[in-house]
Amino acid sequence: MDERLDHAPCGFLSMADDGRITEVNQTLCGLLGYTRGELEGRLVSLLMKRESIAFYQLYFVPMIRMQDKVEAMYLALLSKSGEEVPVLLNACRRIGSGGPEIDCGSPEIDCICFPMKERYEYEKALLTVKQETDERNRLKKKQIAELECLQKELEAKQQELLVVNDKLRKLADTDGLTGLRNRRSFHEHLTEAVRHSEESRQPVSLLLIDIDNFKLINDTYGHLVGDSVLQEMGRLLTEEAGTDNVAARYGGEEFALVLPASGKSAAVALAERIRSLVEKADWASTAITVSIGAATSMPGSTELALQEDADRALYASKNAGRNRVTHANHSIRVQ
Amino acid sequence: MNQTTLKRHAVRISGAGPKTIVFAPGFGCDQTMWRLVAPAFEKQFRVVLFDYVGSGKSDYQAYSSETYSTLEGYAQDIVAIIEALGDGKVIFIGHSAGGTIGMLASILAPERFERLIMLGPSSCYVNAPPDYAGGFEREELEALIGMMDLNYIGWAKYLSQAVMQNADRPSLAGELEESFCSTDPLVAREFAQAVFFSDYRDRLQHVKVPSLILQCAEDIIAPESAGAHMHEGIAGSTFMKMAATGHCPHMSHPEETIRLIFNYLEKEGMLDG
Repeated sequence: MDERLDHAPCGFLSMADDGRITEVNQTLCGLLGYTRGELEGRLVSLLMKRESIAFYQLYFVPMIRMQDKVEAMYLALLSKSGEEVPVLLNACRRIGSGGPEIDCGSPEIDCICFPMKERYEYEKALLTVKQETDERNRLKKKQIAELECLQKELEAKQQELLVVNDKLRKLADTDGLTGLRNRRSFHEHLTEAVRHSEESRQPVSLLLIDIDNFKLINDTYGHLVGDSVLQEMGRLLTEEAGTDNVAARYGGEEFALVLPASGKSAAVALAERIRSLVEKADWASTAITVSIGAATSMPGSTELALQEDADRALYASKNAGRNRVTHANHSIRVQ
Repeated sequence: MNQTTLKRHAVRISGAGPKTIVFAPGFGCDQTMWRLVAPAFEKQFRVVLFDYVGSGKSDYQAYSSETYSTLEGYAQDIVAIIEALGDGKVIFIGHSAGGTIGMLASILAPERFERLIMLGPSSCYVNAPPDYAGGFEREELEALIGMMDLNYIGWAKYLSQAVMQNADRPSLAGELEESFCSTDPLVAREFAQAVFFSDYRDRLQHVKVPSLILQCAEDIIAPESAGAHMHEGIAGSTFMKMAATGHCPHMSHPEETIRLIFNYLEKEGMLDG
């Protein structure tokens, strides 16, 4: 062997494809505590711990055969005295140059290696940190996934709650018998309509509708018939209210219609239409009529004033003989 | 053919013949490991190569730690690949863990396997004294996995993905990508855990497909005691000792590997049309 290679500042080893050592330099012999004679002709696995042999078989052999080279492979070698010697190894495989131990033409594998004690410790520490980080990241991902799962559940529950709330609100706002809005809800709407009227400087009107002689119907035909009259009235008012206006059951046989953006004449026209429809309708029991009081807001009028006006107009209709419409402002009386 | 499955496993089909051979790579590497052996069969067989999910040119997105924490997950993929190839049986040749995976697949779908050929297989790597010598103590296998970590096995893919984001140096990414051991670091580690800490000795009795076990000399990973145990466990199996040393005869001794497989197939009447 070339004198300089023999004492080069790195271990040098040449072997055949089957792992038989053909040449080894003095530097490597010194590193592992062997003499040249003890190594040449032996299998390279003599120099490795079991896990290193396994790694060598799993990775070194395929790599050197597939790529004809191995670069920067870490292996734990074994000294003669049984001490672990971590090295970094480069190798190349080429058709033999005809060295003393090798047949001309068969491949030989040249390896250089150098010990990496401190770097090995350093890399092991790095690896430990990396593994810890990986583990933390894995945990973090898992926790995030769990949180996302919980959030989805929460959103689903919130959605359910919204649906239930909506149902409850509807129930709380609805009159059970007629399906119209109840008095509480009516007040909310009226308040809102009056406020909006102030803002938009447009009038709002209110109709109070009372079934004439309802007590008589109840007494004559029974409460079931009375109830069905109220229900039928609810259907009629809902239809006439349309989408712009709000119909509500105000009390026993008394109903209310809030007419946003409607002036006096529109309110009176609608009231008259309702009165007439009720009168002409084919009631199962007996002929039924309604008395209606209408009122329209003036600038600055309150919700309460509007109700009082409509109430007063309704009384006027009743007193004038029922089945008629009265508007509070000018005590307009139709029919 | 189910193109999705074939694409997911980077399946490559070559050669032509009445029968199909599927070559399964062993632990940690991809289909290019069969480069020195598979072409010899192309004249008489339809030859199929593939990669496991998480290695080679497979679809890395399809990897899930849950599915692939045991070799059964890989075995199900083998059955899917065989189904995607069409009707009929295949001759399955698996190296190392690839042999064990094929064995598990043959239990799942015995009707799709004509022959099962295992190169350096082991049903259990850990010693189970007093009756079984797998070859390793647990700590030794842990040290082996530690050595993989220190050699950045699987980091190539990881690094190449990092480099890919660097538009200035696309060539470097290409080079790293070409590495035949390129697997995702997580995949490499979980595959190693699944392989080395598995114990499938109780499955041997369920193998109904005629099998060949090729045993290498001086194989520290799958020693003769492990191969002989598989031979005893699998009824009617053939056990053949190779002159080849080490654990990768299809790379270190391709000629002998080809010859022994051919001899077996000929004897079994697999070469006739």
